[in-house]
Order: sequence, then C-alpha cells, then structure tokens
Amino acid sequence: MKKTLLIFLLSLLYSCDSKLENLIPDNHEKWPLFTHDKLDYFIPGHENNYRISYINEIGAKYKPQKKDNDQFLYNYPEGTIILKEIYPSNTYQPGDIPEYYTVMIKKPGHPHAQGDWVWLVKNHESKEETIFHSDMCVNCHEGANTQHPYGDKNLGKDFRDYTFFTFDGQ
Amino acid sequence: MTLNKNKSITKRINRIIIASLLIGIGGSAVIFLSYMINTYDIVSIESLGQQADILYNTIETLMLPGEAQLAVDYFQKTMLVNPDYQIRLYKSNGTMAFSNDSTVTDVNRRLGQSIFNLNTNRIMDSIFPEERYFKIAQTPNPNNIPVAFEYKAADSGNIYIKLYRPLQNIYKCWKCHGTDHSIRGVIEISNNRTAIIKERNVIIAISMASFIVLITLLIIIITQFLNRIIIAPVKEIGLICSGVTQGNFTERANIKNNDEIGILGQTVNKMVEGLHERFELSKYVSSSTLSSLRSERKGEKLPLTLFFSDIRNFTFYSEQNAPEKVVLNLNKILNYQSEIIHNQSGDIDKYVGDEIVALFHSESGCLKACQAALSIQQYLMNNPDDFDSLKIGIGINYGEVILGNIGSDKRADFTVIGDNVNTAARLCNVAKAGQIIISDSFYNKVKSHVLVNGPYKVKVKGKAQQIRVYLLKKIKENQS
Repeated sequence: MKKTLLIFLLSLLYSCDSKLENLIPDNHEKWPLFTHDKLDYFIPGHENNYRISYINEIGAKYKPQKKDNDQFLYNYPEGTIILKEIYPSNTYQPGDIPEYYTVMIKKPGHPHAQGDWVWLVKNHESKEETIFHSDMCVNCHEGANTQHPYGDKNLGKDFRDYTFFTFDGQ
Repeated sequence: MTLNKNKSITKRINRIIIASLLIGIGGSAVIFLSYMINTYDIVSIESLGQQADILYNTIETLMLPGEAQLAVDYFQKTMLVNPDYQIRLYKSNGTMAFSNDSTVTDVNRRLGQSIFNLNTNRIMDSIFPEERYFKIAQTPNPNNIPVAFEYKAADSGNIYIKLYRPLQNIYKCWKCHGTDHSIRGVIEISNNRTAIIKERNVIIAISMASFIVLITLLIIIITQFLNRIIIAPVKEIGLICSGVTQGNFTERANIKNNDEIGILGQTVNKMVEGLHERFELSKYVSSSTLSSLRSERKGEKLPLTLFFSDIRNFTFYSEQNAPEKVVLNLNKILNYQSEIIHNQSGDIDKYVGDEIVALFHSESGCLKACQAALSIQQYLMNNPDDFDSLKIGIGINYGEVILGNIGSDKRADFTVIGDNVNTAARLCNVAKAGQIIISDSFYNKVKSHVLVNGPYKVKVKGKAQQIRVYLLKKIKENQS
C-alpha cells in the first residue's frame, strides 16, 4: 500500500502539468505512407515492434530546400503530422490492430514542443493522447539530422527535421 | 417519572462535549498529521527525483567523452557527503555498472580500437536491484517517470525510499553502445529514512499524548463550566420542584447568575411562593370550592349526603377552660374528624365554630359517610382522654341540594344550601353525645348495609311535622 502510494505520488509529481490533448485526427489510414520500408527491426525506444508510418497531406506536399553545399534542409510546415502505428509484435498481417501510435506534430511555439515538434503517444483503445514532456523522443530523433543507421542512413548529413526517413512520395 | 441516568442531561452534554472535541480536534489533528506525513513524502520523493535528474545529466555529460571513471568517482564522493544516501548505477541486465570490463570491451569492439582501458576501479558487484521495480523502471513511459518505493533492508532493518531512474539509450550513446537496446541502465538513489521515521513516530506519539491531555483538560474545564453555569442550577431547580410535589415549600433556588438560568431560578422561587400561598389557602377552602374554581361552575342542583358533626356542651366547655386549651382541643378534635372524613372521600365544606359540615358525593358516599361517623364516635368513646372528654353528635341526611358559589364578589364560598341542608343541621342538633342520627331518606340509601335503631319520630326546628329518623349503630359485618 505504502509502495503503491509512493509510485502514485511520483506519477502525480511528474505529470501534474500534463494535459490530455485532441491533436491527432482519426483518419490517418487515408494518409500516404511516410516510408514503404519494412519497419520490424529494433530501434531504441520502439524496440522491435512492427511499425507503419504515415504523413498527413500538409507534410506530404512539402519539398525540402537545397542549401549551397548540396545539403538538403528539411523544415516541414506547421501542421505536419507524422504518425507511427506500433503493433504488439514484430510481425504484421492486414487487419492487425496497433497497440498505440507515436506521433510528431510540427507546432513551433507549442509549450511542449521540442525541436519545433510536439511528441505524443496515443492509445489505440482508449484514444487517450499524452504529450511527452521528457526529452526521451527528441534525444534519439535528433540523430536523424546527421548520419544514422536507419533508412538511407542520411549519408549526406542533411538536416532531416528529426525524421529518420524521408517521404518517398508514393 | 423516574430519571433514566443514561439519558440525563449531564451525561448527554458530557457525551456531546467529548464527541465534539474528539471529532473536531481529533479529526483536525489526524488530517493535519496525515497531510504533514504526505507532504514530507512528496518533498522527499521530489527531492530524490531532482537528484536523479542531476545524476542523469552528469552521467550523460561524463559518459559521452568516455569518462566513466569520473562518473564512478562522482558517485562515491556524493555518497560520502551524506552516508544516508546510496547511489548506484545498474546495467540493463541488473548487474552493477562498472563492476566488470564487459561494457568497456564491448565499446572498444564497436569503436574498432582499444580506446578505453580495462581494469577500471570497480564498484562492488554483489548488489542487485529490486527486481519488480527495476522491471517497471525499464518499461518506457511517455514522461520518463522514475519509480519510487519504500524498502526495508533485511539485515539492518533500515527503511529507505528508493528511486529508479532509467537511463535511455539515446542517439549520443549509439556510437559506443549500439542500437540494440532502449534502456542503457537504471540509476538507483536511496535515502535512509529510518532516523526520520523514528523521529516522526516520536512526534506523532507526542502529538497524540498532547492531544489526549488537551482533550482531557478541555473536557474537565468545559464540563465543570457547564456544571457550574447550567447543570447544577437546573438540578437545584429540579430538586426544588420535586420538593414542591412532596409538599415542601421551604426551599428556594439560590442562583446568583444574572442570566437565563438565574431568571429561571427567580421565576421558580416566585412560583413556589405562589404555590405555597395557594396550598396554605386550600386548607381553608373546601374541595368543592377548589373544584368550582377549576371548573368555573356557577351553581347546580344535585343529590348529596350531608354530614354535620357538632361538639356537645362546647359553650359550657369553652367557658370553663382557658382559651388556649379550648382552641387546642377544638383543633385537635376537628383535625381528627377531618382526617377520617377525608379518608372516606368526604369533602369538608366548612367549619362553623365547633361544627363540621361535610359532603359525600355519589351513591357510594352514603356508606362512606356511615363509616366516617361510626369511626369518629367509636374512637371518641374509646379514647376520651385524647380530647379532654369532649363528645360530639352527628346528623346525616341525603337529598337534593343547591351547590353553588354563595357570597359576594369580595368573599364567597362554594357551598350547599337548601332544605335538606337545614334538615341535616337539625338532626345534628338533636343528636346526643355519641349519637349518629340519620334521616329516613339517608336510611333508605344504606339500609341494606347498616344496623340501626328506630325509626323514631322527632320534632325539629323549621318543620311543622315530626320527621322519621334512625340511630346508626354499625355497618353489617360483611359490608365493612
């Protein structure tokens, strides 16, 4: 009882400024896939759960700028949403239901924005959205802005705006 | 009506006081103490959480340039500052960080060269985390909430608050540690709370003892105060009222308070004085008069038994004896007769000198009048010395009379008038010492119950013809 109370108190302390938001639309299945890569391998923070990524229309229309040194400078427009369906295991069959979604929303100026993105998790069943106040997500995703082990590995060290993959336009 | 001691106002008030104090002060004390304890817990955990964040950033800062030894030294020095603090770092597999060369070897392998030396100064390696909470800490959660729990050391019995803060495998770690895991390890900070808990328990015990003493004192003070101000005066008033019901009109409430209770005491004193006056007056007023006052009857015609008794040769007796002796013996014989008449439910209508006029109501009153008359005469005959050998004659008649409030506005009697009253008075006049003369109408009412001598014919004043009378001798054996 005492132990449970302590954990409860701690949760309160750490989440007292957390707000339940309604920032994620329900129609993401109609959005284009962000990447067609098969995402079933281990990534810190996502483990080896099967993942399917989507990008909304605002983000899908965006084309990155090219800087003088041939590097691309990605800066997705405000309102861009990139949503990752996270499945319970590392396998997927059509009809499977995701466990939750990890979402990044471009919202510069939002009080909890990190790298101009708001980082959220949404429970599939309860539809509950929780904003990440910790730097857990951005600490890893900042690796996307330089050479990294995933996708095209960003060998050109483009500023990818915290996304490990680029929209392949399909 | 008897007093139920459990429902007495004293006990009820005491219970209310005790309940109010216990619920009021006790409840407040419990709430205050629990808030204090909870606040302390929150502050402790918050403090540990902040320290965990600082350590996290320190580790991150030191580990990125590969200064693991600095991190180890930092931990050890931090623990030296406060022996009640324990800081540990566990690998994700639950073994102590820096306890062997496996991580360094792995890092060197990933980097492709022996950048880091082996044989780093090791921290003891036989300590393992609390498995249950360690697993919770390793489960990613959106806001990276540490896990805090209370822990009692089996060996020392010390009580700790422990906090597990996960170390994430962030991008900056990947180069050395790879991307095949999400949690690099877990920071453990524990704070020995044994002394504080003991101190807290002492404070709680002192608070509780103080509370009990305070409550006891308050109960005594308030109870005494209420006793003195309210309960004792009310009890005193109650005793006076109880005394009045038993005929004691001498006691008065001695309440000096100039408040509602004082006013009540004064009012009760006045009431007792009034009751005393009325009680004294009632001795001089017949029951019929009192009854008429209560019922406000003006006058009515009804059949009654009329009882007259009169001392024989009293005029001579009063002339031959001292006034004090006359009054003494007159009152004595009147008292004695009155008591017997009252005992037989008779109503003394009036005393006229040495004469008693009494009334007996209802049919049963006839026989009771016989019993009263016989008792009086019997006693006087058997105990002549008690009344200085005074003797009486009794006349009894039965018939309709007018009962009403007779007199003026200033002075009136509720008494009887009519021919039957006069007849009874005449029968008394003709009765010799020791005799009971009853009228023919009265005899007809009691003849089945009494033994008489007669009939006789007597001439009485105010009647043209002789009237038939009897001498009452006794009540038949089976009637008494």
